[in-house]
Amino acid sequence: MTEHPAQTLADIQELRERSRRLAHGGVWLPALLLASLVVASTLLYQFPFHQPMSEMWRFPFWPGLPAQPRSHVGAYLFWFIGLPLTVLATGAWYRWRGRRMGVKVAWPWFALTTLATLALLAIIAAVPTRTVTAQYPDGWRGLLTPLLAVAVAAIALGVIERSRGLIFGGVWLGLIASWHCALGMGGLPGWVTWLLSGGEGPALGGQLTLLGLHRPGPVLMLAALPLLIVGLMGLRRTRGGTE
Amino acid sequence: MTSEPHPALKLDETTHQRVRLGILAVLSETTECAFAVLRDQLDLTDGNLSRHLRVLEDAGLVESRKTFEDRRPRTWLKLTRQGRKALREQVETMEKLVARLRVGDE
Repeated sequence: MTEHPAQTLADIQELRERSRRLAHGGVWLPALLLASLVVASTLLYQFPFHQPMSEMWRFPFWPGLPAQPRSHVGAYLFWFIGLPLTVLATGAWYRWRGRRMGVKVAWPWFALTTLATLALLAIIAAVPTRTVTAQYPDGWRGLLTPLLAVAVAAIALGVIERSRGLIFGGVWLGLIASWHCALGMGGLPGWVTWLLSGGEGPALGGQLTLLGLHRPGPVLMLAALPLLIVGLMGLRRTRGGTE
Repeated sequence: MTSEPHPALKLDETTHQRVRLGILAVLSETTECAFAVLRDQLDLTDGNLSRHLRVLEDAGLVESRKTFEDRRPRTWLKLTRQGRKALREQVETMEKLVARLRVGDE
């Protein structure tokens, strides 16, 4: 007697999982596009991998991280053209895949969230405030970086695609960008250095230089790693997202 | 003293039917799904699927939209908010029923 409804429930669950795989098999391409954009932004920096004798950079951090860019305008254009182009390419991919596979996902919400976040970043950065004279701006203003717009884009896409990996990738990128933008490249707060020294001595703060994590190149690669893994795993699993 | 009614009494006639439950399950995972894809997923004929879809549309659980793509007509189907709620309630009721029957078997 118990077998019939239990079997029906099991069948329904299997059907849902099969439909989910079919509907969300295209997530690999936007994940790889977002990861590529983050990694490609390494080219925006004058010294992406090594520490120069002296470095000049301005706030807001238009390259993404507080390090010297090759060109401030170039960095600004990279994100404000690159991210909308990524959204456009993602939309074209989902439209093509939707027609071919006969299943659609709510990608317009991803486009809307990403573009709105980018616009919000531009608007907040343009608000006239006092000149930031300290080496790093106080509090939340240090978080005005295009990398956070990419993080929000990844989280929005993860919610739409029901991908926990993508949501994690967005949160991971956001946390890494916030860390470096708020505390400086590889910056460690006093309490962390105090803990690392076994709870002894003054809590003066410091800099993490392990694996070059005080330079934009390694930081961006680490930040994009989860998105890259989600993209490559999805590509492998679905053999191009059309199976 | 009031006792909760048996879960079997809460089963909805429209959604409890196996094929219709399958339609709701497939549509719950997509924003929109083409008629042909739904038919293939459920291994049904066009006529059979159309008949069940009509019942679900009349109950306000499913919406359909007809388009022309590459000069061919195509029907897209989506779950309404009411349909999503109905599926959730139906699955919950069935889970309660299974749990109740298991207790009865022990």
